[in-house]
This record gives sequence, C-alpha cells and structure tokens, in this order.
Amino acid sequence: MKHHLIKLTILNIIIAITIAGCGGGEEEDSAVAATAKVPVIAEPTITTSELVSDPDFNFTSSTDLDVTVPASPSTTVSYFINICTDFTHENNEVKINYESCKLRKTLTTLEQAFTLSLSNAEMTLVAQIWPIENGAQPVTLYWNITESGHSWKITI
Amino acid sequence: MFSFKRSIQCWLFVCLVVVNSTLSAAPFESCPSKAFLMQQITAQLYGVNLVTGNYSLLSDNLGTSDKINAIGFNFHDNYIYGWGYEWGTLVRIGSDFQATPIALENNPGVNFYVGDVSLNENSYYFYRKGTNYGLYKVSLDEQSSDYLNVIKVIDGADLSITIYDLAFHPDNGFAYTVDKNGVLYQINVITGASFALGNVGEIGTFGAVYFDVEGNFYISRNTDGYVFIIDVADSSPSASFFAYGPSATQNDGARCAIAPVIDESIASTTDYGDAPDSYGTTLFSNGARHGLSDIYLGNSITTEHNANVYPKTDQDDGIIFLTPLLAGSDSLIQVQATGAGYLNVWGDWDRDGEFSPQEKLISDKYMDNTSEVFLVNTSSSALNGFTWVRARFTSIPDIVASGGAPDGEVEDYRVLVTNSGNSQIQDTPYYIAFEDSWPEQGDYDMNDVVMLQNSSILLTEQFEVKQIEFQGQLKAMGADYHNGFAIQLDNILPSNVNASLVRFEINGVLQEVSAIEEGTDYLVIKITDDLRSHIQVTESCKYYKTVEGCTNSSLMTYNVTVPFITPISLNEFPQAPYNPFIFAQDATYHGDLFFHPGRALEIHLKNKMPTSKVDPSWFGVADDATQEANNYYYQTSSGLPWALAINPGSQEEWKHPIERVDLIQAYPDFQIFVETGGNKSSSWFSQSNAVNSKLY
Repeated sequence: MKHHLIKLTILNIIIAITIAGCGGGEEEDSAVAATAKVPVIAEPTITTSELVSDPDFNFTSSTDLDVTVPASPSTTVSYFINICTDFTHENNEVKINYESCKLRKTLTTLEQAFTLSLSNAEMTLVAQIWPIENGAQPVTLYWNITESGHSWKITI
Repeated sequence: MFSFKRSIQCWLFVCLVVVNSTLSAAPFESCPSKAFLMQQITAQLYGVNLVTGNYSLLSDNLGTSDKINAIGFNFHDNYIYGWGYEWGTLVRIGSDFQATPIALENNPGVNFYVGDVSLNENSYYFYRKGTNYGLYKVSLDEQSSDYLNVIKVIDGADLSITIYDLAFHPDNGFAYTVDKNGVLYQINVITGASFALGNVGEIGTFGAVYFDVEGNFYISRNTDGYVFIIDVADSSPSASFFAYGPSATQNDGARCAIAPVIDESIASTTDYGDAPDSYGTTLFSNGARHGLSDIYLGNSITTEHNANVYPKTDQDDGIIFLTPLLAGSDSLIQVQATGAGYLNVWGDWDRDGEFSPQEKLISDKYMDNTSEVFLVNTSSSALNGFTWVRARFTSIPDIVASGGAPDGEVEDYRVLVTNSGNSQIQDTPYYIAFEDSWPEQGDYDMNDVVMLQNSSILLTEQFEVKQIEFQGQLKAMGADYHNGFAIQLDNILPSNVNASLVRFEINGVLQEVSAIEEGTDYLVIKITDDLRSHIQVTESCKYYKTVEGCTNSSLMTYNVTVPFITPISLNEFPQAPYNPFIFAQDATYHGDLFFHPGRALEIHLKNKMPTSKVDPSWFGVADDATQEANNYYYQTSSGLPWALAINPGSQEEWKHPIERVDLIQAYPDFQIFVETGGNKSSSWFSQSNAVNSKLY
C-alpha cells in the first residue's frame, strides 16, 4: 500500500507542477494585460438608496463545492486530510496556511461527501493527506474551479 | 603578634587614606535596570537582566586578587560599594569597574558578605552573624560628621540570622533578606529590630537579593541560579519562580532599587508569548520570556519590552500543526529549530486558562538546527474546541511554562482539539456590516457596526453537529448609538446546549457571564450588550476606525464554543453566516422614533428572522417593509437591507467605506450585483473592484 502511495505521490507532484505551470501562465497574461491597460472603475450614477432589489434576494454570494474525500488507504495507519484555501509554493514545496482549511478530518474506511461553501473569490483549493506516522510525507492535490467545476472527487 | 598586626593595620590605613584621596573613577551614568552580580574567588562582575536571567560578564578584572562581597548600588552617587577582602575594608566601584579601597574609622577588622546601601540615607550597612559582630553602618555622605566612620547599629547577639545578602526596599526604608531556611526578614536598620514575615517556601543560600522600583523582591539561589520573586507586602509572602539565572558557589548582588526591571529607553531584548495573560504571558504575570540569543523557533524571533497579549499577536513561525490535536490519538506537528536546545510544549487540555505541569505535549525534546515532523499524543481528556498551546525552546532543560529563561524563544498558538472521528468544517469568513438606523433608512456607508465573523462546526461520524465555535472581531463602529451584538441559530433549541461546557471569551479573557441568552425560543449567543464598552474613543475621534486620520489601537474580539447535548443533523442545522444581529442597549437613545427601545429593537440581515425578544409592533414603521407572513424581514419597500454579509474569502479582507461614503461610491460594482440579483459582479467587494480612496 505504501509503495502504491509513493507512486501516487509522484503522480500528484507531477500534476501539481503541471497545474502550477498553468497558473503561472495565466498570471503572466494578467500581468501583461494590467500593464497595457489601466483599470477603470466606472463612476456610479446613483446612490445605494436608489437601488431596487427583489424581496427574496439576500445580498450574499457564495459558491458551493461538493467534495468527496477518499477512503483511507490503510487500516493500520490513520490518514488525515486538510482541504484549505490559502497556500503558496516555495522552493518546490507547498506552504499551507492551515487556518484557512475548510475541512479537516481523519479518513474513514468509506468515501465521504461534503458540501463546502466558498467565497466567490476562492477559486483554488489544496488537499493534503497525511499518514499519521513517524517520517510522514503528505500527498498533495489541487482543485481549480475553472477546470473542475463545482465538484471534486479526491482520490489517492 | 598583636603589635605586629596593629602595625600592619596602621600601615594599611595610611595607604588607604592616600588611595582614598585619589578616588577619581567616574560613577555609572545612571541608575541601571540591570542587576549586578559579583562572583568568583577573584572577583568578577556580571550584569544580570532580571527579566530573563540573561547575564553577561562586565569585568573579570576589578583590580583585586581577592573576593568582593556585600555589594550595594548607591543611587545617591551612582557607585557600587562592597567589601573588599584583599584590603579588609569598603571598596567603591565606578564605571571603569575598578575597585578602590576606602579607609574606615572603627573598621571592625573582619570581612563581610552581607551589605547594601540605603536609599533613605547615603549610608552603607553591612552585617555579620556572631556575638562579636552585628549590623554596622557607615556614612558615605561627605557632609556628615560621621563620614566613613563605622557605627554599630545592633550587636550580633541581638540580631542573629543566617543570611547571605540583604537589600533595601525602594520606599519604606526597611532592609529585607531571606535566611537559609526560607524565612523572610524585615530589618529596621535604625534600631536593628528584625521581624520574621513568614517562610517563603524555598530554602538555600540566597547570595544575591534585589528590589525593583515596584517593591518586588528578587532572591537568587547560589546552587541552581533560580531567581524567585516575593511580594514582601503580602500577609503570607511566598517565593514564586521567576527566572533561570546564573549559579555559583559564591554570589552577591546589587541593584539600583529605584529602577524598573524593564528599561524601555533601550531596544528590547526579550521575547514573550502572546496567549491570554491567564496563561502567564506578561511580565506582570511572570510570563514566559526569553533573552535574545541565537536559539529560537523557526526562522526569526521578535522581541518586546513586554508581551503583546492576545488579541494582539507576535509573528510566530516555528510550529505548524499539520493536523488538529486529536484527543487520545496521535497528531502531527512540524517544528523548526534554529540553534540547539530543548523543546517543551504544553496544551491547555481542560481549557481553564492555565497550563498545568501535567498538560504536556512534548518534554525536553533536544533539537539542533533542524526541522522535524513529530508524532504527538494529546491527552484523551482534552476538551474539543480551540485552546492554547505554548512551545518553549531553550538551552535549559526541564523548564516550566512561565518565567524567564536567558535564551531561546516562546511561541503561543491557538489550536483546535478534536476527536479522531470528528470532522471540522470551517465556514468562509463573513464581514457583517450594519446600518443601525432601522427602521429608518440609513446613509449606506455600512460601517455603523462591522464584525468579522469566523465559525466552524464539529461533525460526528454520523454527520451530526456536536459543537459550533464562533470567533469574531469588531472591525469598525461608526455608530452614535449603543448597540449590542448577538447571533441567533435559527430553529436550534437553547435547551440542547451543554451549558457547563460553553466557553466564552472576550479578548481572550474568560467571561463569567453566560453567552447563552435566557428566555429565547431559539438559541441566541449574546456577545455583548454594548459594543462601545469594549472600545476606547476620544472626543475628537468618537468613531472606531471609520474616519480618516482617526486610528485606534483598541481591539475587541470574542470566542464562543457551544457544545450540544444531542448532536444535530447537519441537514437541519442553519448555515453560515447564521443569523448575526445588533440590538439596542437597554436604557439608551436609539433614534427619535422610539424612547429607549432596548433589547426589543433588533437589526438583522435581510430576511433573517428576529428573535422572540423583538417587539413585532415596530415592523412596518418608517422605512421598514417587513412582511412576517412572507418571511420578508428587515428590508425596505425597495428590497434594500440594513445589514450585509460579505465573504471575500480567507485571503482577502473586506474594507468598509469611510464615514458617510455611500457603499456604491466605494464599491461601484455593488450596483450591478444588486440589479442582477447577484448574477453578475458577485465579487463586488474585492479591493480590486473598489475605489480605494473611499475605504478606511
């Protein structure tokens, strides 16, 4: 099982690098666009008190994400998953702000489904799965709303 | 033999008179905050930071080949005085750290190791036990007729205590000391009368004792260097561990008693934690603290003159909790250590606001310039919810959770404890922004009250909510009115709350009042009756963080943990942002429409139901167009709200408009968001879509 996990880790690292590469390209495009055009924020023509809203509209905006977390790959070692929104890459390592984690749980013997509510500004997530053992090395996976939509089935 | 000794003494006296006339070393420039410690058989002088016990050698050559003892700092002339064994007389030490002997009339002719300089008078007092000796005084005042003339205050037969140093109180004129059995004595040096004030609970040779300007008495034990602090005014004085100082077989201390132990005129060299002060964080609470050194956690260390207590925080970077702490199970934490030392970690498992010696996660783990992932086991008795964890890394093993250490670092973390079968779901952070003019339409600057609300739930394996936790921070208050703040969990019965395990803190301080409001149909978590009571404002800046140029260092945060007796199905549990609301404080003005409406006036998010304490007769008054039958609440006839819940995500904060700036002026995309019913410009709140000059 551990050997299988190592293979998966390598695969995930490759995926991560690929995704990170894609992300960088997009950022570069954005940067070019930003330097080429100064963003103009339109002057409002009315005041808030002049707005009209449907009585059912509650003025909040959020995005739901359906996440399926995998079953634990082992019955002898516990596995723990963190799904978080705030992360960066430094020196080929992902640095996660664990205070941003939306879901933290020990994997069970079964797949489990959760619905997470995200801000519209939260477009990417990271999932990190740790075997709770000495010398632990995590498996890291990513979700991107543009590519994956509103559901994420995590597999290891 | 006798005549030979007398002739030697006469020769020495003549020499000393000559030396005395040439005293010229400059005094110390000021009354220093550091203590002085004299050690070794050939005298060496150290400077000791009492805050941490950190010490450094000031001089290993004081111009003598023998001991100097019984030292005291004289604030009348800023010199150190002591007893020089080489010359058998008083010595004076200036800023050049050279001891100069001073001839005394009526020198008792033996050496002394107990002494200090009085603050009330410019006189040096010294003591030796024994019927042939006692307590002596010598004036250091050149204008005195007794200048350098030794006077015996009391005979050793009448003052017989086994002591190794004494120090003068900064205010009351008494000298204090602790004998080898731990008995604290107060000595009236005018009469020589002594009073045993009680046993302080520590025994040993306390060779160096000091006072600070607050009247705190510090005693340093030779064998282990432990520094204890004693409140001499206490009716039952006791010695509390204060810092790990230097140990020595021979010790004597001196300090300028009118100096505070923290010198804020120089750069800080002490690292503190930032947990609430109940954990022992500030110097006042004998908090955990470390002298600046090359030993620390993570990549950097911060220093402060005194602790930044939660909700103020330090930048901590040494520990990463890769998993929550799982009660009764193994968890993973990553620790980065710079330098070599011992790591000790405590956790407040029973959430009583203290670290007990038994609440330990890691004990004396030696680390040397490394980063490691540890498997740690949390006590099975640890309560679920957020608690505080303290990590200390220092070269000293087996340290306790508070007190000073000469090197290393302390880092405090607020950490989730849960059970391995539970899931934690953290809601997206919401900024709840209110207009408090209901039922009259406001000016829509949406900053009368702005509360950042974080929340998380713990789920059982059956997908039932067993506990909810709120953490909030007041971000702005542009209100003239006195508003309370609360959160209703719609359709959740208050009788299902496990009241004995509810934990409620404001600014990290455990509250005695319950957060669960009584007499409501559904569960209401009441944070405060008056937000203004938590914030300090001035006449010129009467609002909190809404007016340009009006900064305010006040902070108001809250944490509430609410466990349920019977877990509630996730499908039946309300969703974030739940139902936060403000209400009028009782007996205060809240507009011209009502006289002191009090708790019955509530302002909620649009279409969120009021509590059972609201006065429904006020619905429909003025601009309010609530239709209870249709579940349309807190909206105008145009469908506009008095409150917004804004969720920019965890990586961005929402900045509210400055005072009297219409929301649309600050966030133009809000117009499209509203006009499209939320289908477009759903990130209207982003700073990239804002007119930043109109934001606070």
